[in-house]
Amino acid sequence: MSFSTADKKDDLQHLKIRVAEGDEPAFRKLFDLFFAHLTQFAFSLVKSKEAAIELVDEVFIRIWNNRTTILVIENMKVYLYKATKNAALNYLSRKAEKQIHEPFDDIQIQLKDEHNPESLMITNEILIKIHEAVDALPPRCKMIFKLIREDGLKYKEVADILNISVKTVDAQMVIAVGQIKEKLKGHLHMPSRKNFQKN
Amino acid sequence: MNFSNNRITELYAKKLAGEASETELQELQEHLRSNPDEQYFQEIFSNWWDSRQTPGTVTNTSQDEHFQYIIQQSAYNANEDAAPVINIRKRRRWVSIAAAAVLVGAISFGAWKFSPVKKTETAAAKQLQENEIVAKRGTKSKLLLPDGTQVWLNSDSKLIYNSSFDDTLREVTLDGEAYFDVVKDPKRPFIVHTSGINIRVLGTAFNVKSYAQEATIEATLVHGLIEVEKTNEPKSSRIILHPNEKLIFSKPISKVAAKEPDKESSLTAAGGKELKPQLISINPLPRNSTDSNRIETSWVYGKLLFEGDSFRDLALKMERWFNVKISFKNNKVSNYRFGGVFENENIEEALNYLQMVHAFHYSIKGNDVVIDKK
Repeated sequence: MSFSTADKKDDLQHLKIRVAEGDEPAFRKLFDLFFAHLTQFAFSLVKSKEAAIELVDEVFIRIWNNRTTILVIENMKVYLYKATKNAALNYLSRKAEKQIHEPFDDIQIQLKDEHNPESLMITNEILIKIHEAVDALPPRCKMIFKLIREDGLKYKEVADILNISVKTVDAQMVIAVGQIKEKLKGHLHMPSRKNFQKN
Repeated sequence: MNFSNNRITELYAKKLAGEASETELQELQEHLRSNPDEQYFQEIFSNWWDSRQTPGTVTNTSQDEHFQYIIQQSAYNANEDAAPVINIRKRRRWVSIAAAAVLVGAISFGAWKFSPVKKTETAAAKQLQENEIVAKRGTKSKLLLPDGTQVWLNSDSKLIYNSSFDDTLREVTLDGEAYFDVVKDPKRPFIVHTSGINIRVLGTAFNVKSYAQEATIEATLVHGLIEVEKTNEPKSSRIILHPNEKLIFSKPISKVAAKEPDKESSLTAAGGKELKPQLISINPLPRNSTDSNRIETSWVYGKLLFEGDSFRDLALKMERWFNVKISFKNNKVSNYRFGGVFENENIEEALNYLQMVHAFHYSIKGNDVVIDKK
C-alpha cells in the first residue's frame, strides 16, 4: 500500500535509473506501482474515469519519451503526483474556460467508492456516518486526508505535491479527524463494562 | 465523551498516517488510559482506516494492453531501435528535439506533451470512432497510424481519423501542419482533408501546412506523387504534384479564421493585397537542399527555419514554436525582416539572436512577450 519506507525509496531510485536506461520491464513496474493510484487521484479531481485515465496516460507517455532526462527528478513519486495534479488542473481549467488553481476550494473532491470489506468490525450505520463525515470535509482537507489514507503518502510528500507546508498538512489532518469524530459523536454506543461482563 | 482535545487528535492523526514517533505514541497511550470514549472511537476508526483497499484496475482493458498502448504512443520507443539503418539519422534528430523540448519544459511545464488518442463516439455513426491527436502550442507529436504511416505533427495542430481507417480507406483530417511518410498501398489511397484542399497519395512523403489562422494552405512533396483537389470542386480541380514541388492554395478571405482581432485586420489586409481568393500556385523547390534545411520540412528535424520573414510573420511561427504570445508595440519593428534558423534555443535566446540583426527591445512575462523599439 504505502511505498514510502526507506527501502522502497531506494527501490524507486533504482527503478528510475533503469527506466532512464530504457529498461521496459522497469518502466512497466513503475507503471504498475502508480497507475491505479494516480488514476484515482486524477479522478478525485476531474470526476471522469476516461479523462482521468487519459491524463495519467499522458504523464507516463511523457516519462517514457523523455526517459533519458528523468534522472534529474529528485522524488519520482512526488513528481508523478504533481504532474498528474497539474494535468488535472489544466483539464479542469480548459473545461471551465478559466484558470483553476490550488487550493482546491472550488472543486468538489470525489473520493473512491468503497465496498464494505467483510473484515470490518463496524456496523453499517457507523460506516455510513464515517463516509458522510469524510465526504463533508472541505475540499483541500478531503484531498489531504485521501492522499494519506488511500495512497499511504507521508505528510512531507503530500506537502510537496500540494505546495503547502508540513504544518498545514498536520493541521488539516487534525481538522479532518476532529470533524469525523464530532460527527460520530452520539452514534458510538460504547458497550458498558457491566453488560460486557454479564455476557 | 471528550472531543475537545486537539492534542489527542493530532497524535492520533499522526499515528494513522504513520508519522508518529515512539514518544508520541507513548504520549497518546497515556491520554487514552484516562479516556475510554476516545479509545473506543479510535478502535472503530482505526478499523475503518485500515480497511482501505489499494485501487484496483480502473480500466476495462487489461493492464497489459494498457501498458502496450502507452509504449506505442511514445514517439521514441524500443522498436525503433531495431529499425533499418536508414532511419537512424532521422530518429536521432528527432530525439534531439525531445531533449530540447525538455529544456523548455523546465520553464513552462508541460512542453513536449504527447496527447493520447482521444476516443469520442458520435451519435450518428456509433461504429465510426473518431481518433483525435493534438499537438499543443510549444509541443510536437510523432505518431504511427494503424497502417504504419508515420506522421509528425507540428505545434498547435490536430489530426483526426476514424476507426475504419485501416480496413477500407485511409482518410485523415488535418488542422495545422504535419509531415506524412505514407506506407505504400495502391488499393487504399491515403487522403488528407484540409479546409481548402484534399490531398490524395499512394505512398510518399510530404508536408501539409493548413493553419486556420493563416491565409494559405501549402503542400510540399518530398518524394512520390500526390494529387491535390479543391474541397469544394473535387473533380475539376485535380492537380498532380511532383517531387520537390510546393503547392500553395490561397483561401477565400472569409475562410481565414482569426482568433484575435489584431491578427484579423493584419491578415485580411495581407490577403486582400497579395492573394486572389482560391488561387492555386505551384512553385519548384531548390533542387540542392536537403529535407533538414528546407523551410517546409526543417521543423521535422527540430529546426525553425525562416527566410526573409517579416517580424510579424516570424512572430506567428515563434508563438507556436515556443508556446508564447507575442505582441508588438511598434509597427516599424514588426516590419523588420529576418532570415535564420532556431534549433535548441529557448525564446529568450532566440530573441537575443534576433537583436543582433535588428535593434529592438523585448520583455517576457510568463508566456507573454512584448516587443517594442529600442
